[in-house]
Formats: sequence, C-alpha cells, structure tokens
Amino acid sequence: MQIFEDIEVKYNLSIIARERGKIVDRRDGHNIFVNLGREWIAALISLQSFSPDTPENDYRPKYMGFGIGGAQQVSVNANSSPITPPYSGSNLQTDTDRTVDTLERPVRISGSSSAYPGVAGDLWLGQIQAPVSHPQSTQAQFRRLLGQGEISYAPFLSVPLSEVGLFTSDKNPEEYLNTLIAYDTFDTISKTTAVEIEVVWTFRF
Amino acid sequence: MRDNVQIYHRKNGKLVEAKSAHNIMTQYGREWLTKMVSCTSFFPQTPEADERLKYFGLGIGSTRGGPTGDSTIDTAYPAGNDPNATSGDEYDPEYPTDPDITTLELPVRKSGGSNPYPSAAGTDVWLFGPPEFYNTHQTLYSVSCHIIVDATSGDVIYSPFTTMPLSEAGLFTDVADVNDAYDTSLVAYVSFDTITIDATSELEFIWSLRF
Repeated sequence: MQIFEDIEVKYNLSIIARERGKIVDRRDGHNIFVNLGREWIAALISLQSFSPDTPENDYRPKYMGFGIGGAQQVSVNANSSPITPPYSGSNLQTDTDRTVDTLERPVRISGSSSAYPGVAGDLWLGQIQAPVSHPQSTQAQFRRLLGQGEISYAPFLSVPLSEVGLFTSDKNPEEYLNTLIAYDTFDTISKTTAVEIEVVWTFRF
Repeated sequence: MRDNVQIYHRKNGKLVEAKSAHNIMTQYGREWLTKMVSCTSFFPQTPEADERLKYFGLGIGSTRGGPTGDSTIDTAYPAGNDPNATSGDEYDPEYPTDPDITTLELPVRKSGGSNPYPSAAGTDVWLFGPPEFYNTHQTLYSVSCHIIVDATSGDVIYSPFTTMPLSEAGLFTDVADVNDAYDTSLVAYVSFDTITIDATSELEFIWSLRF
C-alpha cells in the first residue's frame, strides 16, 4: 500500500495485433487519465443529495474508440486516399496532455465511408467486454477485441491506427466526437482485414 | 506532500486550533474504487459497487492518541476491541498494513451511551452522516467532504464525557452501519495530533480526495 498525495489512477495499455493467431505487432505503455476522467471519477463517488441518496453521476467505462490522430502517427497512409478526405485532420495530440478531451481523428468501428460527422448508422465506439476483469483486487481491466471486419472495411482496407480512448456509458457510439476519460497515442499499427487487435486497458488504484 | 484533511477547532465561535494532515486510502477504499469503475454487465448496466461517500467517524486511537488515562473515557472506549486487538495506540498511516487499518482503532460515539464496545447499545450512533456531512468540489478533480461536529449540541461530549482527546478519523461509504463501532467500509483514514474537545467545541473537517 502506498501513501498517496492524490488518489492516483495508474494505468497501462496493451495493444496486440494478431494475424491468423500470431502476434504481428504490439504496443505497451502508459496512457493518460485526462482531466475529464478525473472530473468524472470525483463525481462518481459523490452524492449530490441525500434522502434519497442521489449520485452525482452513475456512468461507468463502457466503450473504446479508435483513431488515426495523435502525435505518434507515423504512416503516410494517414493522409492519403482512401483515408482522406473521410478521416481528415491533424496529428497534434499527445498522451501527456491532460486537457485532451476527444480523439483527434476518430475512425468508425463500422458503417459508411462518409466524411465527418458521418451518417446515421455509423458506429464510432465499440463496447468493452463485460464483466470487467480484475488481475488483482485493486485493478480493473477493460478489454476490446477488434474483429477482422471492424474499422478495416471497404474502402478502408488498411487503417493506420494511432490513438485510442476510453469512454463512459453516457456517450453515444453513433456520434463521431465523444468526450473521453483516458487517452493514448501510439506508434502506428495498421488495421487490415487480416488483422485482429486486442486492447487491454488496466486501471490500478 | 500536500495535506488533504483540514481540521478547524472553534470554541464559542472562535478558532482556537487548526491542523492539517494527510490521509491514506485503505485496501477497502482502493478495492471500492476498482469496483466502482467496473461493470459485470451493460444490459442492464450492473456496476460491481454502487457506494458513495456518506459517513465520517472519529476516534481517540492511532500512534498519536491511545488510552487516555481518564478512567471514564478508557472504560467506555477500551483498547483491544478493534480487528487487530491492538493496545489502542498502534494505527499508523505511515505503516498502514502493520497493523492493517480496516477500521478506526478506538472509535468514539457521536451520541448514545457509555458502555464499553462489547456491550454498547445497538442504538448508539458511531458515525456522522447528513446533514453534518456534505460534499463539495473545491476543484473539478476532487471531492471535498465537509463534516461538522457540534459538541455544543451534544456530539461526542455528553454525560459522562466532559472532554475527548480526538486523534483519528475515517471516511465511510453509504453502506456503513452508523450503529456499528467497527464498521469495515472505511475507505480513508487519518490520524492527527490530539485535539481535545469539550462542551464548547465545534469541529469542522474538510477532507478532500483528489484525483
């Protein structure tokens, strides 16, 4: 046990790309619990009124979203057809900046190939697995498996992923820009139709 | 390290003492946070824990307190009844696992009787809750629990107690039983140099959990 100055939410992120079951790429690192996340958890544990007890919020982590933004994007494909113009944007966000509040260049889990903000029926966030797992009693592990046809569908047959966000249950997965609670940008991993990607996001208290 | 617990002692409305301290999160508290962010299902949303901060307790234990030498107090609040059966002056936030801090060490009542812990009345009230307990946010990234202990209206100080040398405090969630001296839903614990209150005292605690 540790004496905390603040209650520090420590976090690790593991992104594993597999092709026919074999690991072909992997990223491990730390991400950032952004200011919106700190705000969210302070409200989550608080009551706004008593008798009856009314929580300030009751939202839990439920979705992951992916993007091709972030400062660690290194693929030239991120700025060429067919990725642009549908997913046009900049690559400025870092995973050390707590003021980050959305993905920079979100990509769809499934749906159309329209430019932002997309069209009805587009799915921008993927639900994490339930139940959440606990490698230790003070760790919560959120998982999402991107299937072969997710994100990489025609005409986007190779999508250079470089950012990921964690989102709470109040967000609308059919909207392209949602505010997030945690964020990471990583060296590009190409999502193709032959690749499955497993994302494991761990919070430690 | 920034102190996150501020304590103000007023007598007859005048500030006579101000202290600050730093808390520790207990194992229960860390597991509580873990469960609060975790769901077993999303349809319907089923969180593993649905507890919020609601209660506060006071005590005379910890390495900065302990048995007082006052027979009235020591009879009502005898050492050795906590889960670790300590001598009453062993809980140390610097070393919170030795002994393991899961409750207050020598909790005192908000109101009720004066029987020792094992024979305390089931109606004795050991924790402070609303309206003496309320939340604010000093920053967007913290929650501040404000607790008012009003000995002038009988909190803690009631017959036969004329003084009480307080030295420990804890935060509890809404599942705590206010009638249980040793409730284990303690999420955060703090000890401080003794503050002796009497029937003219009012205490204000501002306890901030920062993320």
